[in-house]
Amino acid sequence: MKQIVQNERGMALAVAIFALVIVGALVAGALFAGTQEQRIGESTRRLEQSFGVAELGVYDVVRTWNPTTYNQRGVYPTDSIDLPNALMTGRTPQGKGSYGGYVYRLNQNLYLIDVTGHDTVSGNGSYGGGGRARQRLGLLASIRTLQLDVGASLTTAANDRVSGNARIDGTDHAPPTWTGCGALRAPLAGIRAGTGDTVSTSGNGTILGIPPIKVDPTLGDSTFSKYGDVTYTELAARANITLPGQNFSNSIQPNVVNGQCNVATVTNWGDGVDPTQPCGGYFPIIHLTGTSTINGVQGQGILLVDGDLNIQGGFQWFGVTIIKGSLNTAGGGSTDAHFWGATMAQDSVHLGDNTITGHANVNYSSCALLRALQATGVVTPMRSRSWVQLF
Amino acid sequence: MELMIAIVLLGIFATGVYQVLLNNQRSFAAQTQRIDLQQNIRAATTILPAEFREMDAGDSDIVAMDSSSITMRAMRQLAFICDAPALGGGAGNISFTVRQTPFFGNRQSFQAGDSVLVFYEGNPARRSDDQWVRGAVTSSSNLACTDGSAGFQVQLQPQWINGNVGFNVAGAITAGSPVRGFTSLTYRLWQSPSDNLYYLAQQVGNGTPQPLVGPLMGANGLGFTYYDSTGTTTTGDRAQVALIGVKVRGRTSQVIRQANDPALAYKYDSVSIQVALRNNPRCGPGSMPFRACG
Repeated sequence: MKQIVQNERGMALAVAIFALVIVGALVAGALFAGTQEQRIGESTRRLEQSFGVAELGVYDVVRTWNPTTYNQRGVYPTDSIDLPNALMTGRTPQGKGSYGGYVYRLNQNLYLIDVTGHDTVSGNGSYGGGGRARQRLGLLASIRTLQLDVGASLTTAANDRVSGNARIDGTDHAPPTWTGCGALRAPLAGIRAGTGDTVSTSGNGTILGIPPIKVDPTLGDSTFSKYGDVTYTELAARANITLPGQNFSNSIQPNVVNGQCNVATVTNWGDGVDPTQPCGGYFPIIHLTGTSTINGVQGQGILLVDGDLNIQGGFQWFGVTIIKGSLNTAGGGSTDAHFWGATMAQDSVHLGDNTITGHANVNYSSCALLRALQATGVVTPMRSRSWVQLF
Repeated sequence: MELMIAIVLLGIFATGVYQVLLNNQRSFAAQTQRIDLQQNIRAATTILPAEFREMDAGDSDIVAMDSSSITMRAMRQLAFICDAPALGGGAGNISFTVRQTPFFGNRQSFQAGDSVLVFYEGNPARRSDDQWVRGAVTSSSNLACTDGSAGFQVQLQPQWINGNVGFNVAGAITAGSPVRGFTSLTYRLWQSPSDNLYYLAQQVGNGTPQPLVGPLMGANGLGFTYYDSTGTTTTGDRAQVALIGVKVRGRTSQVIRQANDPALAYKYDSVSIQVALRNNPRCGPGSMPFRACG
C-alpha cells in the first residue's frame, strides 16, 4: 500500500526567506549608505556654491556703494542697513544664488558688511535633502578717503592778494556748532604757494599759520588734479550735483520736506551750520562746470569749480573746495564768509590773482575736512585682515 | 537515496546562498570603505581652506611652513570695541571695552591668555598706516559700554608695532575698531604611534597632535605647496605666500576587493585644492607686489 506523506514540512522556504532577508538588509544598507554619500556630496556642492554667492554678495555691496545711502547712517547699535536694497538685487547675475544681510556702520570710517549667501535651490527651500545650504561671510571695509595734499588752509598756484578784513588761518579749527571733533591737530601754513608766486597783504588782511606763508617748490598741477589714484575728472564724475556756472545769489541752503532732507533739490548742499538738522548728515559732491558767484547761504561736502569762484556775501562752506580758476571774495555783509576745511585754488583756467577781501575767513579745519572726505568716500576692504568667515 | 539527494541539493543551494551573501558583504564593506575615504578627504578640503583663507601672510600669520606641515595663526573670534583705550601712555597694559553683540567665534568672550589682534587706525585719512596690534589678554570681565549695551572690559598687554612705543599714539585705536582673537596651531602629516598609520593632524600650540583626517596613503599622504602673488612657488619667504596648494592622498582603513581585481587591496583616492589667502595686505607695507595706498 502506497503511503502518502501528509506532512511535507521542509527547510527550503525558511532558508530562502532567511537568505532574502539577509541579502535585502545588506542591499538596503548599501543603498542607504550610498544615498547618504550622495546627499553629503550634494550638500558639499551646495555649500561651496553658497560660499561663492556670499563672497559675490559681499563684494557687490562694495561695488555698488553709494555714499548718500550708506555714509550718513547711524553708528551701530543705533542703525543698520538691510541687504538687498535699492542698490542691488541680492541675486547673482545668472540667477544661481541669492544673498542678504546687513551693513553695520562701526564708526565714522569703518563698516562691517555681513552677508549670508544661498545657492538658488537651497534658497528656495525646494531641495528635498532637508535644510538649506548657506554661508555667512563678513567684510571689514573702510572709507577710502581722497588723498588730498593739504598743507595749508589755502593752497594756490597763483599770486594772492589778501586785503580788507580777510583772514586766512592755518590753525586747526572745529566749526563752532560741531560736536565730536576730537583734539585739534597741529597747525598748518596759512597759504601754501608755488615758487615764484607772490602773496601780498594790505589793510587788515591777516595770514596766520605755521608758517603763515609757505613757498613749496613741489607744488604742481597734480597737487590740484590728482588725489592719490583719483583724478579731478574722476571725482567730478562722482558728483551728486553738477551745475553750469551761474550766479546762485542766496539760493544755496538746506531744503527739508516733511522732516526729511530733500536731496533732490540741486541748491541743497547740506547743513553745516546746524549738523543736528535733517540735512546735517548730507555731504554732497558738487561740480560747477563754469565760473560761479555765490552770496549765501551755506553748504558742506566737496565743492569742485571748473572756473572761478566768487563769494560776495556771507556764504558758509564746510569741507573741501577745489577751484581750477581763481578764488575771489568780497563783502560779507552782516555775516562773515567762512570756509572751514581746506581750500585749493589752482588758477589754471584764468590767469589772475586770488583776491581775498571783505569779511572773508578761510580756516583750516581737520574736522570739517575729514568729515567731508568720510561722508563722500566709497569703501574699500580694509588694508589687511578684512575678510572674515562669520559663525 | 532520497536523503542523499536532498543533502546534496541543500549543499549546492547553501553554497550558492553563501556566495551571494559573501559577495554582498564584500560589496557592502567596499562601498562603506570608499564612502569613508571620500568623506575623509572631503573633510580636508573643508577644514584647511577655511583656516587658510583668513591668514595674512604679510603680517606673519604663517609661523613655519614646509611641504608636509604649516604652523599658523588661526582666527577664532571677532568682536568690536565700544569704548576705546586711552593711548599715549607708553608700553604698559591698555584697557578697552568690547561689545558682547555682535561677537563672532567659537567662544563668544575673551579670557586671560587669549591672543588678539586689535585694529590700529592711526590717521583716519590715511590707509597706509593701518595696522593690527598684537597682544595678550591679561583679564576680562563684564562691563557695560558707555552707550548702555552689554560689553566685556579687556585688559591687554600689547606688543606695539615693531616694539616701538611711539605707536602708542592718542586716538590711534578708535571705538568701533575690530578685535580678532586667534590661536597658534599646526596642521601636519602625523604618524600615529598606536597604529603607525599617517594622518592629517591638528596640533594646538605645543599640545598633542589630534588626527583629523586619515588614514592617509603614507609618508606622502599630505603635501603643501606655497605660491607668491605671481604664481611662482616659494619655499623660504613666508611673508610672500599668497596661495597655498594642498594635496591629500587618502587610503581606506581596510583592504577591499577592487572591481577589476579579485585580490584584496587598499583603495586610494586623492584631492587637490588651492586656497587664496584673502587677508594679505592690499596696499602699503607688506603688499605683494608693493602697491601704494591710493
